[in-house]
Amino acid sequence: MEIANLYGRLVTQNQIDSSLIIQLNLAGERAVLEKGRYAICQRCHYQNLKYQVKLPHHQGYYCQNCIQLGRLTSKDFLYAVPEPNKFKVPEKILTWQGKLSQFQKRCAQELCTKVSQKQNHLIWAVTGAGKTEMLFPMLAENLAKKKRIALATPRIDVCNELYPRLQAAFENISIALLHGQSSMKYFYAQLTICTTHQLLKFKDAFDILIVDEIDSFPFAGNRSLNFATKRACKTSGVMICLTATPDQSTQKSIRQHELTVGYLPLRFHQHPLPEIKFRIERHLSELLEKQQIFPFIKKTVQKWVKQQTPFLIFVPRLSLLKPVFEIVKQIVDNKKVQGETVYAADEHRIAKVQALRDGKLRYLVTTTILERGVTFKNLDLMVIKAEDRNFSCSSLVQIAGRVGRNAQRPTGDVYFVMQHYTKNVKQAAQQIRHLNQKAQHLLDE
Amino acid sequence: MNETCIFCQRQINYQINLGWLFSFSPLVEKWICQECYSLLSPLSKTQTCSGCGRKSAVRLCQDCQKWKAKRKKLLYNKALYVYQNDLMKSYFERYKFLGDYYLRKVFQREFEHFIYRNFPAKEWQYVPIPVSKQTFAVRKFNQVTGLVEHLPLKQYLSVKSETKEIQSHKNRFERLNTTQLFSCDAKLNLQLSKILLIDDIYTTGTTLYHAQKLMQQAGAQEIRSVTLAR
Repeated sequence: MEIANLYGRLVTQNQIDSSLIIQLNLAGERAVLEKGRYAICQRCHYQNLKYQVKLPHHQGYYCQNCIQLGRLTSKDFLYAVPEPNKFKVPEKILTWQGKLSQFQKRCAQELCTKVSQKQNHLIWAVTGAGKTEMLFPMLAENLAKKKRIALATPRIDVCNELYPRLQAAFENISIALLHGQSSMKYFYAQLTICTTHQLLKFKDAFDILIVDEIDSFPFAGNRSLNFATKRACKTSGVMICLTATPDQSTQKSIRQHELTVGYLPLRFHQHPLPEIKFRIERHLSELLEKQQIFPFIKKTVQKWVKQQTPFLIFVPRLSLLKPVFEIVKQIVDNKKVQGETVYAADEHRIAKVQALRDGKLRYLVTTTILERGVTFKNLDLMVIKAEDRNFSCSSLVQIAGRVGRNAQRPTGDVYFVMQHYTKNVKQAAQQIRHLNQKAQHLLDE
Repeated sequence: MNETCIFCQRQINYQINLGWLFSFSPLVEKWICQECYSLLSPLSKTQTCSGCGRKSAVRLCQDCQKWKAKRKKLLYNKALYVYQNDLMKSYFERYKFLGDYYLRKVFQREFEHFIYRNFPAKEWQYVPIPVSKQTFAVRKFNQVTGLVEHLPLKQYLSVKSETKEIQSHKNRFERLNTTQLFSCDAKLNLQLSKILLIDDIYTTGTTLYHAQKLMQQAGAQEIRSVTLAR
């Protein structure tokens, strides 16, 4: 096995030659430790209950949490080969031709100084602000310094979307793309794009670790992934977080000065975010149950149909997809205006989304699966039962951020239809107002 | 008490109500939720082949007729669930190949009860199919004995060749033409006893018929088999 493939990786005794362990004088650590009634995995720090994970014939305990990466037992040892930063840097690093806007430039500069000061940094940029492009100056600067950089995100689709964009921007640098469904084999690369789960396999590997969409599932609130991210970053390294909707714990660490924050409240076309409009329907649950059309939805949908623009209707649960779809079908009642339903386990999800983009479909009724990472032109949207627990504050802001992502039509309708107000709904509206205020200040300067 | 479904991570509804309270029956621990359970296809309510236990309209499926033509005494295998099922496949993927030993609990109670009811321990001797040494070194458990932990098992069989390849890596033709996989003690005397072979999956039947042959040589009077999936 090539030793380069082991730099910064956390491996078991089976994945590394024993001669190499002696040669590099590596100290192994036991993979699963026993502590009271728990068996604690040293790869993911998950506390397994001992009686659940006991193997027969006194063969120790195993970890259930990270079993997908290969089972670890208390008889196994973990080794980490230190990262030497052996890279050949090409002459021309950044091959990207585009230009940053004035505000993006300011944010990018701030990021560069924070990285050189080794200060953990958060970029709070609105949806559709061009976060990725803004990273390029910092990436180019630090790739030249032979730093090892990773760009991690909780979602596979985001990884797949980022990879071609970055590869186009850094043509002379080989980029590794790692996730559970990736066909690419692991190789030692200066720039790595991976899911946050893949970070479980690294230790003290990266000088700069960028985590995109820190507020999204499954990263938010997952202790082992949070732990893995910290471990994958070198002790002398820097962590950069990107998000459009920081959650409570992130906002807390900002207040406690563990993180500095850079705002990018303006979208690339420099228009504010569309604000949310609320509509209270007292008997919404019953109306949906009976699949009964109510005036508000009729009026709005008919308006959108007349405008000939695509629209999305979000529902909180799988079981609501059908009734809402039936209602909309009755309203449009026209062979020219076709629609579909979309959910996470849908086989034709990607095809349906593409059909909406191409204009073959005019609307989609969807669960929260389309809340982020998708862009449509001239979109309008409606959230049915926005008070539901399945809509967190961040997902509501993300949903609202689907609208107005196009310079020709920077506005659009965002309607939240609900039975009553909730904290999440109010917070979401407040966050958008807060960012729009910041944007106004920037424009006034 | 287990609270989340191991397949979909959703909360399991235990339905603790007055009706249950006055039924005086114990609260049975569940590992899969109602929705995931409905995705499984149990074989108990359908018409099955009497030879191997698969879903079939005819009484004896083609494969079993072939076994009969080879002058084999049929095993009259009984199975609980269909193996050609997404959920069942992902279950075995995690239990056997990833080695999540805790998953034995999912079907353990049901499988043990099924065996105990149909083949009482007073009459029958339970013989699990063993795993090879190489597999055991990696997996660290025998998936069959895991499923029937609480039954009195007789370890008559052991895997013969040191170089036994894993059955599931072979194709159908290779599987049907393997030579005897198992060995047992030459002095073993099973005169007039009834033997129940237990395995996790019945695919072509080769494994079980090899085991049957050895048990016949040891003088067993009647040999049947039970598997979790078919």
